[in-house]
Amino acid sequence: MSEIVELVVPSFLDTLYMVVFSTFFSIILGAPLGVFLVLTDEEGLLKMPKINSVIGTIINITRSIPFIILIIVLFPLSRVIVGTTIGKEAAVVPLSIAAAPFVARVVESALKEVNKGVVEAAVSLGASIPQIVLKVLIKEALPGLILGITLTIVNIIGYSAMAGVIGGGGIGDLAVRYGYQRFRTDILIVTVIILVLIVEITQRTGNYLAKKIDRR
Amino acid sequence: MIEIKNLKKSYLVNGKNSEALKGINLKIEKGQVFGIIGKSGAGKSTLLRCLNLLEIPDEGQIIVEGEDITKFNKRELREYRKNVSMIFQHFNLLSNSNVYKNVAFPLEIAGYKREYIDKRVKELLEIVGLEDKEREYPSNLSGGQKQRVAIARALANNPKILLCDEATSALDPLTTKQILDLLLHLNNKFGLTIVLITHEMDVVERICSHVAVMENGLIVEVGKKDEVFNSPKSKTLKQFLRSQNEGVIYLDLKEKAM
Ligand SMILES: Nc1ncnc2c1ncn2[C@@H]1O[C@H](COP(=O)(O)OP(=O)(O)OP(=O)(O)O)[C@@H](O)[C@H]1O
Ligand SMILES: [Mg+2]
Repeated sequence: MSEIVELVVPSFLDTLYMVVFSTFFSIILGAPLGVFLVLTDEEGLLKMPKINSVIGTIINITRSIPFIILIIVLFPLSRVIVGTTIGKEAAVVPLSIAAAPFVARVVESALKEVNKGVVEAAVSLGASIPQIVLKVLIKEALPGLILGITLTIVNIIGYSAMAGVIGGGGIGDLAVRYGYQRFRTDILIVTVIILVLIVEITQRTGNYLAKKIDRR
Repeated sequence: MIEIKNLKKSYLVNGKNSEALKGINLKIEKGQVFGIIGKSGAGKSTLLRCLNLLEIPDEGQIIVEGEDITKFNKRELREYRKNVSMIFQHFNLLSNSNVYKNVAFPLEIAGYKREYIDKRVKELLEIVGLEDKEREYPSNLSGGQKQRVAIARALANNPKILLCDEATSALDPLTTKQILDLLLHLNNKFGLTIVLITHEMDVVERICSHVAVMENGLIVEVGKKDEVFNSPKSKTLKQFLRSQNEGVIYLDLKEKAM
């Protein structure tokens, strides 16, 4: 029992580390892209259809590459950015970059749900574009954004298990090394239960928060 | 105070140019309650939305207090828009902000200090009679109350002109009357110039001092309401006045039935 705890706890913390930082950085990278997509859209405030479709295409291409391949391709970048290709710090780089296009789409679709009339009212009151983004689009779309970010976290949890296998560590890595390669079914079961629990808790928290702040 | 000269606007619809405004000429003076009526698709909304450049006209001038607003750069336009507010048929309130925050919005974006905003929001809510609803969210308000919030928000920066696009069309008759009374009060008390479009003749009857009739992207009749209504010339106005009379008879019958 204590052996399981000794193995699982550090792995769990590594997964937590990867998920938290990757979510954070993928939002930093992806959210502005999502906002940009909405603004440059055909019906957007900055109507720039050409740039919009170029960025849209890049995002689609990135999203259609299977994640495991994307990580393999992106791992070398970790050497440049964090100085190593092994460990949880290294995994954060490909995870963040791989999840960023997903975040961009999630943000885009949440912001597009905002009532056009409300945006128009803000324009008619003399609001500038940054003011509209911050005080109208993001604020009005907050419940949708929270659900989208929740979805992102759940995805990153799954991705992090894969990233773990090729050198990131964490729960996924533990499951493969012990549960699969050493036939330790007990550890395999514990890791699966932990992953299910993290996903479940994340999803429930996200749903709860989104519901709580939704005043529509 | 508003002078529109040869205003034209067309839209590209399915690759074809369709003219929504075909050369509008119009003068609106300070303090008027100016009604624009016309059938669906006549171009009323397009014309109104040109007045705060939500639509950019293709041709012509809109001169407001001596300045051609179609020549404004982005910053000048934002400043101008703070002087010309708009209210809408569907209110367009921020649904995730309470009444207080909605009314504070134009003041926040104008960069006022917290103390001033607080004082001004309370003032505005008093004007529209919603002092006790500060903390409510729009979803908990009636249509009339929502429009009051929208009016308070529109008034926040002391605009000189208020544009109303079918502002009472989503409201029941009694609420409509209350909102119109409020608009009239604002017009009397603050000398607010009001430009409103509507398809309800009662609205024009009740509050407009002047009226213009639109048909097919053109103004076909314009002048003092009483004069225009007493000798209707256009087909549209004749029809409107006839259906209004029918409406009166209908209301009479309804009252008798009750
Ligand atoms: N964004 C747009 N794109 C294409 N055509 C438009 C657009 N807005 C208006 N039009 C067209 O311009 C014409 C005038 O429209 P407008 O909305 O100004 O009419 P309206 O008088 O306000 O009608 P309603 O009483 O139905 O509101 C219509 O033929 C309409 O189809
Ligand atoms: Mg209209």
